[in-house]
This record gives sequence, structure tokens and C-alpha cells, in this order.
Amino acid sequence: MVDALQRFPEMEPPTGWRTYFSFSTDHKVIGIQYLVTTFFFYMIGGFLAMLIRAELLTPASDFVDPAVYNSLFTIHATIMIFLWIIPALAGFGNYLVPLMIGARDMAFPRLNALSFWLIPPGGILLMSSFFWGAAGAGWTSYPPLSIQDPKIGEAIWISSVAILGTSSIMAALNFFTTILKMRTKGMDLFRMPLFVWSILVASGITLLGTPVLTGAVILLGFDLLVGTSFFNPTGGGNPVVYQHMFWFYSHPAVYIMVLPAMGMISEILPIFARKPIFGYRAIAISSISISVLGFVVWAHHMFTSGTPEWMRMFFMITSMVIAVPTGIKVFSWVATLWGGKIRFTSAMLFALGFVSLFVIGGLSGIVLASVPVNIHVHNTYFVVAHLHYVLFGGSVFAIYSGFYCWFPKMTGRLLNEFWGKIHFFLTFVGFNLCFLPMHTLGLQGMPRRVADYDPQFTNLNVIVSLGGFLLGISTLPFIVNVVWSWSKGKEAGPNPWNALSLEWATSSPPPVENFEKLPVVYAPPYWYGSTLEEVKKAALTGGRVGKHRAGN
Amino acid sequence: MRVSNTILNKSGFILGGIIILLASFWYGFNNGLMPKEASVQAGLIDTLFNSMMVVATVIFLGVQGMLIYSMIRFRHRGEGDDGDGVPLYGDPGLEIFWTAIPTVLVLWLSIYSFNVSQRIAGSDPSIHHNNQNYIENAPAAALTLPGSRPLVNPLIVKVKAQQFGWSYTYPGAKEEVGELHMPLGREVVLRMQSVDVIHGFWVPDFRMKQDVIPGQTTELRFTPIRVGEYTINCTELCGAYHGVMRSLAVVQEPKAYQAWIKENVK
Repeated sequence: MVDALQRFPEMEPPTGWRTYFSFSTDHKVIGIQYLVTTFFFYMIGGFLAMLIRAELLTPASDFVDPAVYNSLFTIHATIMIFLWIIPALAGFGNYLVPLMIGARDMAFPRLNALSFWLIPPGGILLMSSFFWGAAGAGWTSYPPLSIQDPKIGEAIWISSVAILGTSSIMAALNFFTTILKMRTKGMDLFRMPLFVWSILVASGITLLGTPVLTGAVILLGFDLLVGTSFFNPTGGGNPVVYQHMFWFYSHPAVYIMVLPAMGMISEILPIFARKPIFGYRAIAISSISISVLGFVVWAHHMFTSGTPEWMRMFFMITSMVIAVPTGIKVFSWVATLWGGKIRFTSAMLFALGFVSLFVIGGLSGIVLASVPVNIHVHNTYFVVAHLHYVLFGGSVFAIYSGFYCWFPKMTGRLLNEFWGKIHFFLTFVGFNLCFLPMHTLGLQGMPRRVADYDPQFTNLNVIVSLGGFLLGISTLPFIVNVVWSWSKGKEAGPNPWNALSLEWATSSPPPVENFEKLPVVYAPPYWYGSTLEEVKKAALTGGRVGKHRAGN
Repeated sequence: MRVSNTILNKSGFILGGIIILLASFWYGFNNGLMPKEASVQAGLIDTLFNSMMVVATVIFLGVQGMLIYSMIRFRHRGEGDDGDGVPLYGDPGLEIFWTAIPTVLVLWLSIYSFNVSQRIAGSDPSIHHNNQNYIENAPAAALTLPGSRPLVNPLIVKVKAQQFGWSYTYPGAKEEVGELHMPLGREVVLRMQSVDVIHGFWVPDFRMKQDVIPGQTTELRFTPIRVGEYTINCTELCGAYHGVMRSLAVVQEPKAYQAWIKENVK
């Protein structure tokens, strides 16, 4: 594999902070570019959420114009999905995967750079739509509403989603190839870290699903701008066909957003409990099961769309079944703590928070899977509660945990632990104040996507909004911590956590080509409680280290 | 005589498990999360929901409990407690257990939900006819799923959804009215059409919801069992005034209902 420096020795890359604002094909630079850019968009999406919660402090629609309100939640969700969680996890994948598999870079470094450089224009294009009236049909953009006037916001939305989807597909192709073809000597598939497994599986989902979304929004764009009637009933089209195409991608998309997050948790819990991950093989296989099942559950978003009863029953059963591999992961994580020596670092606190909050989201998901109950709670605040418990309590907590764990590797300096704990507590409290009451609001009768609600819901909405504002404030200690620690934090050294995966076997930050000498691997990186000699011996004789049954 | 740690531990867990089960059963059936039960369907759905709450509470308390217990018992105890935890990689028995139990639970919930769905739906919501004659005159029995009860003289009301209001046409009426009145205890079948975008019809107290899709007719059926006034919400984003697209459902004693019909339905 030839890299840019080898072919153009006269080109010196910019040094220092300028590196991150210029074109680089180094996966570590690209990874950090992704992470900083997506965090910036997270702040914008979060600001939109603050505006939404300000509106919902009172029952009347009295803070912003009602059409503007619809744009607020539309763009909030679009940012959080396509400009924050999906690319942030791609950023962690970019930084960590080559290191974790003992490679010097990704399979296609220039494609890697391109997939990052599509993000800023996609994001700026979407933000610009506020000047002309941003899209206001929800991130789901159902026709015929999304093809009504005014059209420009929706046209921009479609273009932006197409650009960001393309970025995602390119990154997925890169990860898939890298992981299958560039693992270091000794690293069979079942010796890969679980984070790498999760990126492999999520990339598979991305490759199969995202093109269908692109197709859906292109057809929608034709209906919007050119007068076709794919989904327009006045011309003989069927709006429900859009819903099927949209959700065929958008349901697997949630697994794109949660599997790499779960992969990070499977790395972080063992490090700070000083124990092997419990049930490594089951967790790896459950990721594959989730990705396969994830492609046959989409119509559970459409139980009230005139879907035939037989179809509702099929999708109900598949949606319930997917709880089984998900439960296996949760129970394995809990068992990973058993008999450990838990250190409550900020990374560990966020990882524990993930397990605690994701379980709640998973349980509300099972409630939603049941057709009769879904008929009551569909499109209410119960769904808003569910999705935030899994995407914020789940994915965002995992992303924060990942920041605290791998910032030292990326920058060579530790984040401040005291402020990390403050960050955790403010986030955990703010999150639950904001999203727990939403379950009750939905069950009691409050629909979603409304600026005006029945006054009986006022008290709960005030609590929710206060929780939301607390969440906004909770990001401040994190931002200050990152900015300060990047240049002034305590030096970390190569392995501040005494962890076992390959990224910790090189300097912090790693040299340009990652390793002086490419490593050789004998086991997945969870052999806490054993020595390297024992692990090597077991690998060479076909034995196993450690205990494989609980109990004395 | 000192009782061994293992026995204390095991009995602690068994006691904890029993407390969790009792607490979950209590909370499942006393959660107070649903609004008033104003339809036959609400009663069936609420019992299913409460059963799911029992299971969810057990799992919630169990997992959160284990997390907190482990955070306390297996915490790193300061300087000198360095070194790793137990090198436990898995346990086949435990893993089979926590795969099999959720599978059984999920199968039970699916079957129970299927049963309730048959009993509340009765008619397939995917009726796509746009034929005006069909909408007004087809007998409701034509739409019934095999295995469910045939409908007995239901009240069939045409519902029109538009940006941003609801209107109703009663059998034989020439004009629309703006409120949905129903007699207590009689089955209601709504045949719904939209003139512009997708809307959603939902009465929380009845638990029944159905999207109203332009180019199709969708159907919703329920039986009100409680006199009162209930809110009809739009539950599919339909534009700027989606949040205020509400209407009134009124369930009345038969005599009061007849009086209202005579007065208002022309």
C-alpha cells in the first residue's frame, strides 16, 4: 500500500493545528476531523432542542412561528442523525480501527478523506436552508406534506441528505475492506476487538440500506420539483410506498447508530473493571443477528399507516424477537462487572450510564413493538422518550465515554477527571429529568411534533424543559475540559489505563504509520487476570486461559 | 455461629428477586399511566400494557439492581487493590438461560398481543376503496377478519381530515358537522379520507388511532363505554397548525344522542 508521503516526498503536511483544517489521508487526522466537526453540529442540533423546549414551556404556541417550530424539530433530528451520531461513530471507527487491527491506515486513505470532506458542505447546506425557510415535514419527510409549498427548504434537505448518505456509504466501504483484508498476523475474526466487529457489521448495514434511502429521497425530489407522482395521490401515486422505502433504511439506521456505540462499551467496561468481556463470542454473533433482523422490522414504524393486519403481525413478531440478541448484550455487560475491580473514571461512569439508560430504552421499545399498544402510543411523546433513551442515553453516552477513554491516545494528554465527573452527573440528571416524563406524556395523550398542547400537560412539560436546559448547560464543563486539556492536560503516556487492545501498544499520539513494528496477536484483547505468556501458550496449544464457568 | 458469605449472598439474591417480583406485579397493575378507559378496546389494551409493565419492571429493577450492587461490591478499594478482577470469560449455562427466558417472554408477548389485536381490530385497516358507494353502503361485516366477532348494527360515520380540521358526515346526512357524537355502548366504524396530506385520528381515552391517507379510505372501529367528552388529536404531522388540529368526541346516553342528531344532523 502506497501512501501520499511516499509518492510526493516534496509535500510536507501542515503541522500543529493547521493539520486538522487541511486535506490529510492519515486516518488519525481524519478521525479527529470527524469528531470535532460532528461535535460542532451536535451543539447546533442541541441549540435547536433548547428552542423547542422553550416553546414547550407553555401550552400555547407562543415562542416561535408555528411553521418555524416545525423546522426546528425537523432540522434538530436531521442534524443529530446525519451530522452527529452516524459520522461521530465513523470518526471513532476511523481513528481506532486501523490501530486496533494492527494496520498502518485504512484500505483507501483518499476515499477516507473524501468521506470526511463531504460532511462540512452537507452540513453547511442544511444550515443555510434556515435563510429561505428550512424543511418542516419532520426528518421523516412524509409526502404529500413534504412536497407541498414552500419547496426550497425541502429541496435543500433532500440534497443535504443525499450528500451525507454518500459520505456514509464511502466510509462503510472503506471499513468493510479494511477490516476484512488488513488485520495483523494472528488476528482471526474471533480475535478482533468487539468495537471492530461492531464497525464491520454497521458498515454492512450502511452498504445495504443507505442506497434505498437515497432512492427514496431522489424520487421524492422528482415529485417535489418535476411534477412526477411516485408518492403524490393526485397523480395516482401512493404516499405509503415512500414510507416503506424510507423506513427500510431508517430502521437499520438506528442499528448503524447504536452498534458501534455498543462496541465502544464492550471495550471500555473491561478496561475499568479489569476483567474480560463476558460472552465475547455471543456479543459478536448477536451483532450479526441484530443486523440481519434489523432489515425485517421496518414496518413497525407504520402500524397505523393502513398496513394490512397480516403485515402488522409479521413485523410485530420480528420486532419482538430482536430484543433477544439485544438482551444478550445487556446481560453480558452486567456480568462483565461481576468480580471486577471497578474504577469510576469518567469513561466508566458514562459506560455504566449507557447500560442503565439503554435498558430503559430497550424496554420501551418492546412496549412499542406490540401492535395493540402501539396503536395508542404511535406518534406520541412515548416514542420521543424511547428514541432519546436509546440514542442519547445509549449512543451519546457511549460517545462521551469514548471521548474520555481515547482522548489521551489521540492527544497524548488526559482529560480532567473532576470536571469529567461533574459533566457526567449534570448529563445524567438533566437527561432523566428531560426524557423520563415523556413516557407519561405520551401515554396520557400528548402527540409529538406539536407546538400547542392540552394545558393538563403543562407541569410535566415544564420539568422536561428544565431538564433540557440542564442538558444544554452540562456540555460546558466538557467543552472547557477538552479545550484546556488538549494543550495543558496531564501527559498520558502510551497506556494510561493499562488496557490490552493494540492502540495502547504504541505512543500517544501514535506515529504517522501507527507502529514501529506490526504486532502479532494471540487472543482478543480482554485477557485481564492472565499473563501474556499464558495467553500465547494457550493460543499455540489450542487451550484457553481463565474461567469459563461462574461459581467457585 | 457465622453464616457463610455464600449462603447470605444467595439468600440475599433470592429475597431481592422476590421483592422485585412483588414490586413489579404491584406497579404493573397500579401504574396509573393510562388515561380513562372509555372504550372496550381500551380495557383490552390496558391489560396487555399492564402485563408488559410487570415484565419491564422486573427487568428494569433486576438490571439496575445488579449494576448498583456490582458498583458497590466490586469497586476498586484504593491503593494496594491493584491487580485484575476474576478472569471469567463466560458461562454457557447462564448464557443459555438469559437467551431462553427472553425468547419465551417475547413469544408469550407476541401471542398475547396477536390475540388482543384480533379482538380490537376486527376489520383490516388497509381498505383502499375510493368508491363513494362502497364507503357509505358496504356492510361492515364485509371488512371483518376471520375469527373476530361480526359487527352488530354499527354506527358508520364518514370522517374528513384536512389542513387543519376534522368534519363528520352521519348516515343519510347531506351536511358535515364539526363534532363526533356517539351513543353509549354502540359500535362505531369510522371511514376516513383526507383531502390533502396524511393526518392521524386519535382519541387517547379510546386508545384507537389510525392515519388518514389521501388517495385511500382507512377505517377505525371501537365501542365507547363511558359517557363524556374526549379529545380527538391529529397524530400525523400535517403542517404548521398540526398541534391545534383537535376535535371533540362526545359519548352520550342514547336519548341525548338522538336529540343531538335531530338538532344538528341535516
